[in-house]
Amino acid sequence: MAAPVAVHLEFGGGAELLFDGVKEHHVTLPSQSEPWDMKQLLVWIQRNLLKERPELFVQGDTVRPGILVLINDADWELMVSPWSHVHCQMMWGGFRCVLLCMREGSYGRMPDMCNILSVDHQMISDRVT
Amino acid sequence: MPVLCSSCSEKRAVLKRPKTGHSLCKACFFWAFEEEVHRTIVAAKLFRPGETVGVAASGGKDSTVLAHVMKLLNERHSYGLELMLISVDEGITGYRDDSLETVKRNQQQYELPLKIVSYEELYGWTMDAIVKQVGLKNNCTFCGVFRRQALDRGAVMLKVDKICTGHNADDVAETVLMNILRGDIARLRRCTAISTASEGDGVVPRCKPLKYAYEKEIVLYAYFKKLDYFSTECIYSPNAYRGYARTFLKDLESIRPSSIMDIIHSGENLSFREGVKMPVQGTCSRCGYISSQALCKSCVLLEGLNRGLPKLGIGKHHRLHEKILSQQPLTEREERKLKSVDF
Repeated sequence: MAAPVAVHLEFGGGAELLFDGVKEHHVTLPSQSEPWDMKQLLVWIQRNLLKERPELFVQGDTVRPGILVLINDADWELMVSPWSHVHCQMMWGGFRCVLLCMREGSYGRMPDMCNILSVDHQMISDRVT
Repeated sequence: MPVLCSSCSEKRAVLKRPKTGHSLCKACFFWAFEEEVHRTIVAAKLFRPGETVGVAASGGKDSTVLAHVMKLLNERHSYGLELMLISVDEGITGYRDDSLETVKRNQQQYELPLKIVSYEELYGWTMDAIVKQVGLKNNCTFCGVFRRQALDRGAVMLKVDKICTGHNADDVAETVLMNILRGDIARLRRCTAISTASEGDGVVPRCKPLKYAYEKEIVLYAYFKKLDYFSTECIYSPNAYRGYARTFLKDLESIRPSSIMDIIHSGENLSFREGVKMPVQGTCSRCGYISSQALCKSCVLLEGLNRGLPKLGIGKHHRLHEKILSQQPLTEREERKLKSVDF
């Protein structure tokens, strides 16, 4: 049995918008038979903290490209390999995980087709004349 | 096991650089990031000693990092530049007013003079008022066109020799993709250039010192340096087509981080067949700004707003320019076409 894990979660760079604008969360992950890893943490976050638009937070079993993850202030890409596969054992008693969205614009509303057509049309007219 | 820095082999690495794959500690990362920007500036001969340079500041991560790095490099490498911050206030309540507060704090932190030019003061319209009239469909067109000119006007008011903007490698790669997707050859040709040539009176040359800096590194630089920046989505819908290009690029990057540099490299080395039709650059007969038409985009959009015909600048209405210039009234049929606002 893995003991409960205290996690200090921080969302920034616009990622907090998916969590009611709350940037810092102090949470305790319950004890479970297997040790917690990042993959499970992401699922836990999605189930317990995420307020809206999960498609902007997760993609497959990892975070959506464009979100940076820091574990104890170090880029998680240092700990996982290859680029896409997420597996990071949480060996520490308590740890800090920061998720930063790289650009605010990524959280824009999903586009509608009319908008695309009108933008397009304008560009074409710019070019032809 | 903590990973050690591949440069100093002493301290704990804090990031994996997407550009090189190196694992670096904080100090080595800061140094590498700053010196790469320095090399970009030197290699492209972006500035000359004694010049006054305006840093386009939005309060976002890119411009905050740019202002920080420009100030630091100016001192470290004795560029001999006089730096200023220029901000554009689009008049978007709850978005720009908050980010301008960040710019004002940056001004204090970096001890640089700040000039804010507002849409309201330049055009008589805030973005809030524009959206009220045009709706959420083409508002980004107004904002983009007005912003470009507003920065130039601010730069002329401040008498700066050059403007530098916070465009990063991801932005440039995204723009290359966008221009390919739109078939916009004229823009594709010039979008990878690190600086614009002097295009005429009232247009200040621009450059992008962060052109080769990855977004990931900019975000982490700002994070580790604890720089004060503002991050919130614009409350008015962003450019949808660009959103797709951005998502596509980020997906590519997650599989192959070098794809961003590769796209820029491709863009830089494209050559264009002779005889490809290009717009002829002239000047706007109303305001004198560069324009390939009788009237510049900004004047047409403004005319549309003032006449209550918001669609005037959206789409192809160049044949109406003569009428607008000579202040002739439009026919009922023309007016009807330009009036309809659909949501």
